[in-house]
Amino acid sequence: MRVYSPEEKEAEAAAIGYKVVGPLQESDQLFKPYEPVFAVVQIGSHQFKVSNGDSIFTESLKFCNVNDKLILNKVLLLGSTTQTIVGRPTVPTATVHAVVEEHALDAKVIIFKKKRRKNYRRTKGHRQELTKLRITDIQGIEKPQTTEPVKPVKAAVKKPEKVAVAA
Amino acid sequence: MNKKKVFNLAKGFRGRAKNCIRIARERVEKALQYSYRDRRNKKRDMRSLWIQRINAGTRLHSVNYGNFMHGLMKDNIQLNRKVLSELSMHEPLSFKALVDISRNAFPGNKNVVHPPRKVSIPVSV
Repeated sequence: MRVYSPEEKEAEAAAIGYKVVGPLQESDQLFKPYEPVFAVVQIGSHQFKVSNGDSIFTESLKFCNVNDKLILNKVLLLGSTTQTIVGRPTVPTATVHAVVEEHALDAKVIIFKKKRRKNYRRTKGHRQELTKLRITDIQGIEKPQTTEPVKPVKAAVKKPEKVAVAA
Repeated sequence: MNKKKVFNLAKGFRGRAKNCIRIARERVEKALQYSYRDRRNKKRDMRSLWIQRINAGTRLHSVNYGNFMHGLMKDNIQLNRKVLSELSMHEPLSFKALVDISRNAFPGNKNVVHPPRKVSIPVSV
């Protein structure tokens, strides 16, 4: 077990996996009702299309415990009912907040290798370590409010926002 | 308890392969070999499925898959095929935005494919 003693090393390893561990707190009202906003976030080498209240299984993240708040900062696409923000490759000011629900093992797969007529047979079991994240919040896009009619906003210089035509 | 494990893995097999140990053991070994091979094949099959779905989605906007991906790569958009196929199914407006971006990035993209014409079939009662 390698000891990551300075916290800077933890932050570097977290940057590789595109997660920043925030403090865990009780009495925080994180779980909002569903909003029709989605984001495409990248963790490690896997990309997920997430929305408020989703739960995703990722490869086991090393430096976080259960009930930790995470900030996923590699966001590739944001979308709502009126706007789409496309990053090249990422949207720099967008974040997705998540909470670690559990660290679990996957179901067992049996690895069985056999060469016929050569008296060779090998059996092995394998359970992959996973982390279950619950997505709580997506920031970086205007969320449509049900009361007012939202007008599509043309964005500023760097990232071209594509205005989706509301059907 | 190896026989017990074999019979547990042989549930749902056809004929004597679920009941008789000599036949069940052969079939279970074959099944485990197939699952080893197919865990690798599944990755290939899924990617092929995503590409088919993206192709179908872009052809509705008169662009084919090759030109679409070329335009995205030129523009440094690093969305993978899994997410693109999900967008083409569930987020049609965002997907159209991506097709427009690709069309602007790669100018050879105008009206490459004609979208399928919708033919109204008369219903005979």
